[in-house]
Amino acid sequence: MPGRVMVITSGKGGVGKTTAVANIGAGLALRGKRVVLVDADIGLRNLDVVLGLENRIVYDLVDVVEGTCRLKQALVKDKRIQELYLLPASQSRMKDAVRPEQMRALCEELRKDFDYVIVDSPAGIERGFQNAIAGADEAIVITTPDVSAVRDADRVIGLLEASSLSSHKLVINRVRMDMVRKGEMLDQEDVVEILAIELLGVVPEDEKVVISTNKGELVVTESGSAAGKEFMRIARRIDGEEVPIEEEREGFMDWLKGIFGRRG
Amino acid sequence: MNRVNFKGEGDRVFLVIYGNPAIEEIISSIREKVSSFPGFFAGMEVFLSPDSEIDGDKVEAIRDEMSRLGLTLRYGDRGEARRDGFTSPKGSALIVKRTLRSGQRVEYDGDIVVLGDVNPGAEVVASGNVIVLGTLRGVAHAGSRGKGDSFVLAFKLMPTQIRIGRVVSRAPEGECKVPDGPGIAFLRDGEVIVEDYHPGHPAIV
Repeated sequence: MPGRVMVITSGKGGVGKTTAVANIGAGLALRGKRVVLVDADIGLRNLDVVLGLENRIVYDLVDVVEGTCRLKQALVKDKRIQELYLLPASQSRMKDAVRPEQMRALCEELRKDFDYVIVDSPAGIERGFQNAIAGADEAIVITTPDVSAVRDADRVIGLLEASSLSSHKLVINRVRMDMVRKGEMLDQEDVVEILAIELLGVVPEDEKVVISTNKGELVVTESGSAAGKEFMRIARRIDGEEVPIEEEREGFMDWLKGIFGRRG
Repeated sequence: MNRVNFKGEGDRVFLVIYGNPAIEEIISSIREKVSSFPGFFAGMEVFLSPDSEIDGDKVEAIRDEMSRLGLTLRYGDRGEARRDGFTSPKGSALIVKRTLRSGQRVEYDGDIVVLGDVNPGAEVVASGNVIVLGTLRGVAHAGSRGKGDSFVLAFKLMPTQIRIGRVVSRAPEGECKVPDGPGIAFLRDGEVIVEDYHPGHPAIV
């Protein structure tokens, strides 16, 4: 049974795509799935750093596409999690080194051997983005709850809707509940109202993410991380489990239930 | 040699005139064609093709003749179709059946009705009126060819910018009173005014 190919994209840079790809992918692998993470950010690769695998890279995606090596030779096995693999991007080349058709062929090849192929999209809507979505069936759009990011996410969703991808879901990332309560952070009802796609998860701002990234570790494996917990719940939802979007925080639960109830 | 022709394009009929024939030749050609198919042309709205090279002063004579024959000639901004006071000519409204997302733009010569929202970063540009059966958060331009009596109407008017005719306007800085329900924006004394919409609002012409 061929695997699922999904792309995680956003339009805006810095909203947490790479972190999400790494942690959601790891979450799925921890549940026993075979997962490969594909870094499509040619020239500005980051997924390897977030995973702490940067010193294990020999070949990359461009090498595979140009036939310099076989696909299996380029895959880097994760140092901690069984069944989690990385196909790194090239750091020295540029986005035009790969064409969408090549990405499509690559993803088709990968899905034969993996349950999940998760593509990390670069920011923007040009060639890098086009490459990243070329082989995917599903998209996860990440946004932070601010006007700029939502504007970009809306643009991206418009492009996804015009493409051949069959499903688009939303993750709102880096939410600061204290600011939301004070009315200083964008009302999430507004985010969902404008973007009008299914909500997959709401990830709180968590300083453990910064710390972990620098150490090449993943919050999804850390017991005390609120963001890590939500990434794991997102992985479970992707895998078909019914996990309600709720949190045991006073006030937050009722208000989120309100959103969920409205969208449900 | 037939220098006067009616040509169908899309859902419109154009009057195409080649060269600059004498007005008498034009009139008699039109009469001849229309009388060959009286049922077909009855009550029809015909657009003077932009490719036509005739002098402007002939247009009035052509319009009068066509009126006599039961047709309406539309020519540039001056050739207003005969209106009965409460409907627009058939085929002059574009209906968009979905939400417009950021970066999407719709432009049309006529009225535009959006059955959905217009998100920030989206643009609706109409030579006529703009009607949004949803929330307008993007940019709407009504009367894009200069028609200052156009309006923008939305269930929720929260636009980034409204343009009516040649006037560009944005909400005042800071908190501003946005109509709770449906709102309508129109020009009064060269300024964009936003008011609560109600059936029969005077801005709707």
